[in-house]
Amino acid sequence: MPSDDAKPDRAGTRSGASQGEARQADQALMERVSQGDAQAFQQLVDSGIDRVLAVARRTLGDEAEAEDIAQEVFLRLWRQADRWEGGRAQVSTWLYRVTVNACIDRLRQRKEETGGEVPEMTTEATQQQTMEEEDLRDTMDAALQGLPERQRLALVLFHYENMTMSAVAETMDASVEAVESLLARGRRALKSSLRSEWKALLPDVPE
Amino acid sequence: MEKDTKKDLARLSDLLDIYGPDAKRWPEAGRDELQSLLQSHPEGRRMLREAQALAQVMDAAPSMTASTNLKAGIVAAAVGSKDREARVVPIASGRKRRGSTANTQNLGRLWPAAALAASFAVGLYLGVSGIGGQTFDDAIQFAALSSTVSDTDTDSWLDNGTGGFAEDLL
Repeated sequence: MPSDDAKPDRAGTRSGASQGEARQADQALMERVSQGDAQAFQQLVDSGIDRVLAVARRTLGDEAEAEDIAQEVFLRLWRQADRWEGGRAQVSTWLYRVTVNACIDRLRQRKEETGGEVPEMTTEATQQQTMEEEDLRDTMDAALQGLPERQRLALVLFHYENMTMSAVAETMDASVEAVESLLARGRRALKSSLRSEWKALLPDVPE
Repeated sequence: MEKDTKKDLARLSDLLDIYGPDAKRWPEAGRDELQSLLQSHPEGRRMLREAQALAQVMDAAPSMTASTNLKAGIVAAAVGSKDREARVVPIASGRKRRGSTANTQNLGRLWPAAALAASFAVGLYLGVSGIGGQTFDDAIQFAALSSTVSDTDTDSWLDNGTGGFAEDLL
């Protein structure tokens, strides 16, 4: 991201001064975007899209849908650039928040489509003693998708995106305590469903 | 003493569940004491190793990075649109997602418009990015992204975001 070269804040780890600088840089870039500056917009896309995709992919478990989300998020940024208020947030924070909202919306659409049934891919986190890298990736993906959506989102933002607790809380519009609870429950659920996988990495730990 | 250790181990367990095994991410308050416990108590060491193993498994979860085509398509769709009215063309609707009743009609409808928009979109992005060597497939994808189609679902969540925009836009 323009002002956010390091992976965002990861939203929340910056000092006050550097956050201020980041906001100023974002403001300048957004002003250029609002004037139709394609290079400035491309700069925003280039620097922010991988994070948007990573969050969406891990939250939705689907690459095509993650790409849809990326389009939606950046086109929204383009459409509303002239109304950007630089003092309110960094672009990276805004991108995370809008991405999370878009993912939640998608998940709700899915529930409506499937009548609330759990997709088949979420039930596959079973016990395989040994597995190749690809199998492990699929199993982990399935376990992640099997979590309730808010637990999954909290883990995606905190563990995978390395955001601070307060930034996750802000992004999810929740209290820090609520996020802590979501993280703990999510991690415990993964620990249970992926027991054979992590145990395989600790051969000397008794069952 | 024994009671205190049990209490500390329980705290440690909670901390690992919430924050994971990287002590740098723990709250500063009490961090040093709990780190000492991790090193000195066999149960603490076991808990840490398990948390580290789980984190290692979690890191196997797939991620993805953007293709040049996707980035180009987004820029072309935005910059090539009139009055900032670019619309999303659902990519997922053109592919079958597990557990989904995907609709492929939108993608089919936009091919005529796509063909017309393709050359403009490709040229636009190439001009912006300086990237060369695009193929016909690239052009089609750009066009799909830059066409305007009715997409009533797109804006349903757009009003949910907050952050750098005034409240009336959120």
